Amino acid sequence: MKKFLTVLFTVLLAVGWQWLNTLRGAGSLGQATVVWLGIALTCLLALQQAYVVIGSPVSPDRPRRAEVIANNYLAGLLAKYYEFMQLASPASQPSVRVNVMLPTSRWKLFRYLRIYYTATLPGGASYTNEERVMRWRKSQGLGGWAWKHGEAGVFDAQRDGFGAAAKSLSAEQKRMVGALKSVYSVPIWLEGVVVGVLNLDSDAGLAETRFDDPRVQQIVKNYADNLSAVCFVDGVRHK
Amino acid sequence: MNDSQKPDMSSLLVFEPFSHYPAGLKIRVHDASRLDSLGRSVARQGQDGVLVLDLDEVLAKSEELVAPAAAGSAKTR
Repeated sequence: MKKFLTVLFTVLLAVGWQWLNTLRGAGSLGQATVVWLGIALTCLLALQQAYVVIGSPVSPDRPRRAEVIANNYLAGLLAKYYEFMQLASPASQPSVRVNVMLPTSRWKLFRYLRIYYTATLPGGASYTNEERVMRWRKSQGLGGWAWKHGEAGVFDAQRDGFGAAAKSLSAEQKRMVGALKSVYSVPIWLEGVVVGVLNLDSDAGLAETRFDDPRVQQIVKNYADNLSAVCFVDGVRHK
Repeated sequence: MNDSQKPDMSSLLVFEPFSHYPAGLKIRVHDASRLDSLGRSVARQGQDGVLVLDLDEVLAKSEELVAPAAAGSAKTR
């Protein structure tokens, strides 16, 4: 029904000009009326086309149904990360969590990132409710930065040159992620669009997490490529 | 297909995401809020004040907690 109405509306707008000219020729409409109706038709057509171009975000139910598979896959990424870390330096390893944020939009316009999929170590606390629903606009935090630029980024609270993302945070966001010492964010691409951001975060600095090690980054990027299967080109509709 | 031939869907749907971690993994936790109750019960204070979590110990304790429940459900079948 929705598709039928879209087609009908598009056809009416497309042939509206023709009808206006016909009615003016027949003397049914005055010049001023034709101009105003023409302006109205143009505005409606522009809005309708913008609505079509922006795309249709999926229902929040879609990521919810993919959650078990995605979370399990992220747990696999954590295991692979620790496998590498254990080989590189067997003494002890930093505490790392993983999440995937997806673009979410209200009325197809106001877009932000939000956590949908997560994985933590056995014995590790899951992401808090606040963390799960926190909104990240483009350029806010490292995730927002990766979303905006389509580039992977590294954050370290202590090293110069790795802390730029922290300056873009709101007071609430700063309070929430204040304990994080290092983060690695990788954009997830699908059909030429960034459809999500894969984040690894830790309460330990880069020296321990090695998020700047190309081998770690390669592992994470491989997983990010496959995660596009549980992401959506037009994002998720705000609940 | 009668009921006895149907696969046990609940067992098929159980993932084991923790089974692939390398053995002997010890995790340094700077922020105690990053641990759940199981993690806090197992974690030990290291010499430098940082909490150390032995993952093998966590998994063993987790299995201990699950085992009585599994035995209980088997009896009821």
